[in-house]
Amino acid sequence: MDASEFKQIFLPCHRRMYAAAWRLTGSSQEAEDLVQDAMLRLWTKRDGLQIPDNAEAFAVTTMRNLFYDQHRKQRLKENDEEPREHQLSTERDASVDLEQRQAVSLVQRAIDELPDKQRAIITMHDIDNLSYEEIQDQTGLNAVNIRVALSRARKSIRDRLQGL
Amino acid sequence: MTTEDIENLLEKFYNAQTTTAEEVALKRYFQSQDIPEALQADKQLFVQLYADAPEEPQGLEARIARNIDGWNMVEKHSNRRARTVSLRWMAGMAASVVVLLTLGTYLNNRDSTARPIATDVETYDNPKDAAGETERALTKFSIAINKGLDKINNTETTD
Repeated sequence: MDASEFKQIFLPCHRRMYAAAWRLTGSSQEAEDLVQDAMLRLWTKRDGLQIPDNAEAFAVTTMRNLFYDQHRKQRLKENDEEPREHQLSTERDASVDLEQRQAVSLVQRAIDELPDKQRAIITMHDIDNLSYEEIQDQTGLNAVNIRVALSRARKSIRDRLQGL
Repeated sequence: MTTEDIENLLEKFYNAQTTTAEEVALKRYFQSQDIPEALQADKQLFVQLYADAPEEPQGLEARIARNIDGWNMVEKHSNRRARTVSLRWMAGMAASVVVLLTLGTYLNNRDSTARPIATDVETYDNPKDAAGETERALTKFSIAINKGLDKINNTETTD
């Protein structure tokens, strides 16, 4: 796939990607960075891709996976460090981090912490507004599975909000 | 809608059994101001889950397009370099292989002719003869050494 074909397919996805990125990061700068990182990932993998039916959904999913990968690494890294080290290294970043994190809604943070399947399904259904059929196509799950996962996800979030 | 209606709908919602129309009704309800205390958490969920996306920063699409062009150029440039490097590398490898083969063949041939000579000429069945031959070889060696040493001494004294 050459550059112009790539642009034709994936550039129009920027709007949905940015919207999703903003929900995840709560900051316009980080959201833009995340979109750019995701575009780079799509670019480097473009030759292994079959042109996806729904390029937009594919691009947004790629970006979300990237986000959760990055955050898993960050969390693992923090867990490995000595507690003292951890404090020193994040002291400077803490205030900036907090500012940015505050813009991420509590609901989004709750979603981030859900088990993978529930997180994916509530995101696809309630945020991306995909139909059950579209979700079935993407995940291979049947309607009953989807309903159960969606139900559990919504209840978890509500419970978390009520607990505050 | 009464609070009871809302609560019934909410129960359906958390069982993921609401229709799209019912969800829209709930969203609209939670955008209003007078929500009872008991439903505040639900309100937060609805407001944040179904929040509208903010305005996209100006020029984002152009910045992305520019990046793509950049990556494309970098890739083309490094591919060109990789190709020339690998050609040189391949030529070098080919040359080394030729040298090794030649050397190997040469050495191999030498080996097979050398051994018979060694067994026939340079060993002696008779120990006395062997000793004599050894002495002669060592003498030749000493003469050569002394000649060399004399040369060195001469040059030293003339300095």
